[in-house]
Amino acid sequence: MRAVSGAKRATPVQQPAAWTVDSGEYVVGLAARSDRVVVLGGTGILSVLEGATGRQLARGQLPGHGAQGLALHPVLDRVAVGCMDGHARVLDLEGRVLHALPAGKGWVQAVAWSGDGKLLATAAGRVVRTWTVDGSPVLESEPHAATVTALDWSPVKADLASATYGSVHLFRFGEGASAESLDWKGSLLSLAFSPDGKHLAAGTQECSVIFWKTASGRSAEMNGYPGKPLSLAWSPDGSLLATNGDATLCCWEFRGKGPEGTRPLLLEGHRAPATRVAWHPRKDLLVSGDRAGKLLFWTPRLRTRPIARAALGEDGVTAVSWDPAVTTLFAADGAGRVARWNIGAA
Amino acid sequence: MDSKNESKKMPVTVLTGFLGSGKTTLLNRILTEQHGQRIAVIENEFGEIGIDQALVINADEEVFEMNNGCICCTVRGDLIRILGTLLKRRDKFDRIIIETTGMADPGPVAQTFFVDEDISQEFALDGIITLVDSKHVAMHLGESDECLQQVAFADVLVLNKTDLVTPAELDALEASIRRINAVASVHRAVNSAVQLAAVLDVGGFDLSRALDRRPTFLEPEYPFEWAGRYQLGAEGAVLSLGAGPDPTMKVALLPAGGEDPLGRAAEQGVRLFSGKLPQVGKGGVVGAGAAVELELRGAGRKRFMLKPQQPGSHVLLAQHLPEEFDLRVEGSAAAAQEPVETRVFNPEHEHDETVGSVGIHLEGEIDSDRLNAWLRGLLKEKGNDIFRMKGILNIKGEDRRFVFQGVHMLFDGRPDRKWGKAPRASDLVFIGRNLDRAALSEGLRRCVR
Repeated sequence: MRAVSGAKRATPVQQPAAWTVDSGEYVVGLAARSDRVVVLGGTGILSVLEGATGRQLARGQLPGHGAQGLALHPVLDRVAVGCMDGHARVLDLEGRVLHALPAGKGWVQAVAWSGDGKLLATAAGRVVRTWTVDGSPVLESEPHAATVTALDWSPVKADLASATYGSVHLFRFGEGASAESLDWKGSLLSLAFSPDGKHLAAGTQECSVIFWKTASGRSAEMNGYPGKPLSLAWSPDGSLLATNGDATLCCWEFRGKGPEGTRPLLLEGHRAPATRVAWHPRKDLLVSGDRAGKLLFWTPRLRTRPIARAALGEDGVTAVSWDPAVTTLFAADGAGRVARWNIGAA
Repeated sequence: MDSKNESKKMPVTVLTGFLGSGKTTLLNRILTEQHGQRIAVIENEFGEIGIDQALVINADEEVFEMNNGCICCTVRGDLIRILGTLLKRRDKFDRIIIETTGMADPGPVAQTFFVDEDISQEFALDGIITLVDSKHVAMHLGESDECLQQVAFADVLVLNKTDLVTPAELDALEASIRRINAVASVHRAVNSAVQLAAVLDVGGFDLSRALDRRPTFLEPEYPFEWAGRYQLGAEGAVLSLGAGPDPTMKVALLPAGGEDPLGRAAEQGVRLFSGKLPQVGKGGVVGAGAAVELELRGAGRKRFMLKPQQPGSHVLLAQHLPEEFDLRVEGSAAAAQEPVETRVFNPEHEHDETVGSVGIHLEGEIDSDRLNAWLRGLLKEKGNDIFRMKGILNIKGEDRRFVFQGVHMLFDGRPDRKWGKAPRASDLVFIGRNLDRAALSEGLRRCVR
């Protein structure tokens, strides 16, 4: 455990929400930018809220009986949504559909923009496809051995990872496009590249986190979670990976030889299992939400107790999103609540 | 972990059955009937359903091994994912139906509801419904492990397409299916027409209902399945048998006596049926007071003489159920004679590679630590062979019934309603392959303190 700065066991500051609105249904995704908050509901209702006030600016039903996966473009004011009619849809921040991309048979399980924003990857069934920003198809993968469960792009290179039962496929779009696979006997459900692209983390059905060194393919498994650690968040400097899977958050140390043989930071404060973790894009500031609707804010390098807390409601937190321009957090829950906090102002 | 009250969990029904057994027809019936329930269907890729009011989700059956490939921890990865997603719109549905492919082993489907904590907290496996093509199932049972497992796993068995077989064939089929799975409820149907109440809200846990259906199930096993009492004159009667599933059948004729003549005859019969019995060919005599083995090879009905020592009431014990061999007792002028009373006995299981059920009834309070230790050891060793396990247990120090069920190596239990004035006792049922009744009974008995 690390030294606690300031007063011991100081009560974390309660942060009042700037506003709270009811979006009407289970929120599966949030994306915030340019004073817009895009809220994606489980049945495919997409709402656009004004960031400052929470006022609803647009609301529409996407086709396909449901949606999952919402990805904000890194530069442009648009989002990609995975719909259950086999199409990924690209929308602007006013909620207008710009492109409907035939991603494959069945549900679109995941959507992800590349770090430079040039490509969108979609996963439907066993097939991964990539598209240009204009919606033109670029690549269609061979069918994977099982359904693709997650996608992530390396932030620094044009490498795309797709997870499935038994392995991760790495598509290298850079010099002389190639593909390789990182095998793991088990069901891989979430993926997260480190900011420098040197590590890839995956959460598993079997309550563990797997790490690969992407250069060598060497892997390590971190066990001991009571639940599935599916929310994985790298600190902006890449030195810590925060994971859920328990009420105690576990941050794996990547300085030095870590994480193998090093003690992770354990962040204690939640009374219910954590559901989401999200690092502020530029600061040593982590937020976590739990199954009881509570949010805690942390500065893990400084202290392992929360610095601030907030309450969304009684339902589990299902989505959190920082607005990177300011220290503003948006969070949503399974009952459809969406709220905003201005952390910098506190 | 916070676990939901069972009644708040969303019920899930699993439909299994070989290709052509009528699963899709039943599914369409369920979806079109006016029951006021909103249903999400997860079906295999090859199904053909066109129902507007239901959400139909196509799934690839992806069987995953968990915990380093332990065969008993195989689950349906696609179901974990799909059910997890449906949770996000759970207020849109009242129940979920999963249709499996004809060749599916039901184990991984059922295990999914035990292995994944997120799933087990939100969903309750209401029942496994297995449809059986009455015309062709006998062939499938002989050839396919999956078919056998589908029958063994079932909470409800629908004998479908009964219009394609004779009543006698159907009786024989039901009897042979009962030998595999003695606790499932059995319904007969044409064109998958069954009452929805019979297949939805089954409450797979409800062992007491299963016991109501088959009161002999937990009784000791006997070397015969049936007893009938007849009034015989001095001239005796003719025992007439048709072709059945076995080339021979053991029978015994005993003078009736006592307050419970069938029970008394059964006690005598256990002794008489042991050892090698004299064989009797067609036209031969079955004398009172001894057991014989009737030779039934060859075509046509076989007739034997039932010869009493004295005229009066006699009990006929038969190794198999009368309907399996179309057994008749004929008096003078070949008129069929109805038995005064009959009783069905729980037949002995041969401990070979067959799939069957073992039920154990036990008085006395069970020590939960010992029970856990016993079950852990048992399932570690025999988990592959034990398909399903259900029980109501009388746990020491608990004023509630403890109900539990298991699939292969996984089991899960919870306190149920209070015993109240009901007699406290434990009933445990195993369905599986190669089950050793004596060892299972002894194992449970040692958990009593």
